[in-house]
Amino acid sequence: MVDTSIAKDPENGSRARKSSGPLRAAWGYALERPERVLSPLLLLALIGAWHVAAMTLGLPEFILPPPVKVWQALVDGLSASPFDVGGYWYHTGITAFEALSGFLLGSSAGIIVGMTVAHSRIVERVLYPYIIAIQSLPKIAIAPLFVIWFGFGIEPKILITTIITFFPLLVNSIAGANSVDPARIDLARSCNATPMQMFFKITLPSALPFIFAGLNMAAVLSILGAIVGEFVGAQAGLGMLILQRNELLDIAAVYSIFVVLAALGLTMHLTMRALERKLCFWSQRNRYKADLDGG
Amino acid sequence: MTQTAPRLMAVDDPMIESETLNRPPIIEIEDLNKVYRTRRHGDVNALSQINLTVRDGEFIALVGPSGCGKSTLLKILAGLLPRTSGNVTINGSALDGPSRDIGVVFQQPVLLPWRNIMQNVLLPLEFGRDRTREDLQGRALELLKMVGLEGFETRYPEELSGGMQQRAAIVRALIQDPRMLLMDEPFGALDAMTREQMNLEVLRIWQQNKKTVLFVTHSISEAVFLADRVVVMTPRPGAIAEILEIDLPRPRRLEMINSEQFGVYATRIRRLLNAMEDLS
Ligand SMILES: Nc1ncnc2c1ncn2[C@@H]1O[C@H](COP(=O)(O)OP(=O)(O)OP(=O)(O)O)[C@@H](O)[C@H]1O
Ligand SMILES: [Mg+2]
Repeated sequence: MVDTSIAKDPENGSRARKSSGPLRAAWGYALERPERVLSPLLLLALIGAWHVAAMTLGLPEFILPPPVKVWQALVDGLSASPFDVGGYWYHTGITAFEALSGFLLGSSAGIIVGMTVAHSRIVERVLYPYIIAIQSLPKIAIAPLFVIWFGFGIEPKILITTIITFFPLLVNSIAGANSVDPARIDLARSCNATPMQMFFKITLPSALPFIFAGLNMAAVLSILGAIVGEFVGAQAGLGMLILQRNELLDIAAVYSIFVVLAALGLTMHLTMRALERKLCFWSQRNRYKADLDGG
Repeated sequence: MTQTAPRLMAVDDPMIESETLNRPPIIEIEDLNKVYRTRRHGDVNALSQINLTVRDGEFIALVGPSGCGKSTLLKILAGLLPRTSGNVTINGSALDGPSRDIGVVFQQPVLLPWRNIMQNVLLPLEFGRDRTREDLQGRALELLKMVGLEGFETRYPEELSGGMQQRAAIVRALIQDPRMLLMDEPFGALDAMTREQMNLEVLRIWQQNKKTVLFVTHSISEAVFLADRVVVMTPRPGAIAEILEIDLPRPRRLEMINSEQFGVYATRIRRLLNAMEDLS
């Protein structure tokens, strides 16, 4: 791939220093990529401040549990077997499954419908006002309805996640398909491209950066959809677990589930990012991001 | 080919020399008109009564002020745009849609950023209903070598300079060995130095491969330097004002630009173009 590792600050002499001892090397690394050192330091500082606040402010534990307790809850929850309904793995698996299946269903449907709609200008013009209207609705609001229709199992959660992730991909696919450089279309037409060839070799790849912007958005929304779905009524999942621990006033456990959720979100995000870098390596936006995290 | 011969003799153009006259026509345009129907500006008469016969192996340059319909004409010939009226015969048969006999080079290189140079150059082979599954990798390498892009096969377009990208686009247009090359201001975006190099390159390709070339340009000297005949067009509506035979020796060399004869041609075209500006 392209070499994006051009040093950004000219006075950066760390490369020369690298060879003279591990400490210097570490220092050089810190100078070159300050965020990689500062980000973890910030986390430590925040946990430290939290700890001090919990010790000195004298707030009750159901408002501000000390970090050690949260850590303890996290370790307890994660040391249980994946089949133990009292542990975290089981519920994380359920929530991840709901989020992921909804994400896959919703986003692929969004891409297919979006590309089909964009193919015909008249269909697009007829549907667009409805798409915009529905998009601005808080789709979460139908979650209670789904519980009535489909019960307390995982189906209503997958369905709500599907609906939530469908729209960003619908809108972005339409925008992506419409943004294809007409010169590329002329090029393909001058070579007698069939509609299928046009779609797979020109339109779809050209729209890919837009599609990935939609996928990134949908990845975040999918976890939100699964959690809210579980809030409304569920027998399992991290959302259900939060409500349960909340009722027991085990706030340290609630906090520790937040940590699990954050890890889930981060995993999803990094996976999407890796996929984007693989498939969309040529897109400008991607180059810039790759530059930011040094890869 | 035989039935087109009598028509050829009927072409009423005293400037045609016997040598070019002997070659069969490859593009025949008769009374071609193009009207764009727009909602906002009504009908735009882009081309009006275009008559032009291009002979096999000829190098034609099209010049004219902006908006006189040069791109429109090229797009019609490339089969990208329907005509309003008139007949166009290409290679003996009536024009309908894009043809494998025609390679197009656009003003921008239009390389696909997700494909490397080799994949871009081979792109036309992946299009069309009756795809020939022939392996043209070798030919692609040969052509890339010819335009000085050897060793860049696995690079991506954005790693290449504008001139290199446009050379790759020319190779892409040549990959299926078309008999005709339509070029719409292919070097408009390049600096003067690169442009001269590219002009020599195009002449070399044209001579080596015996293509017929229709070359649109804004540059009078580029037109005179390259072409056998220069077609000067007028705007509103786009029509042919004059066709100039350029009687400079081949192969053309850059020094010829300073010759007296070259100056005479250039001045003649400039006068024609200036006269149009006075009119409008
Ligand atoms: N798609 C279109 N719809 C309506 N009018 C058009 C369209 N394309 C071109 N025209 C009009 O047709 C005329 C000829 O346009 P064309 O692009 O062929 O000119 P050109 O000679 O290539 O100009 P330039 O040298 O600037 O490229 C212009 O008046 C232009 O406004
Ligand atoms: Mg033009």
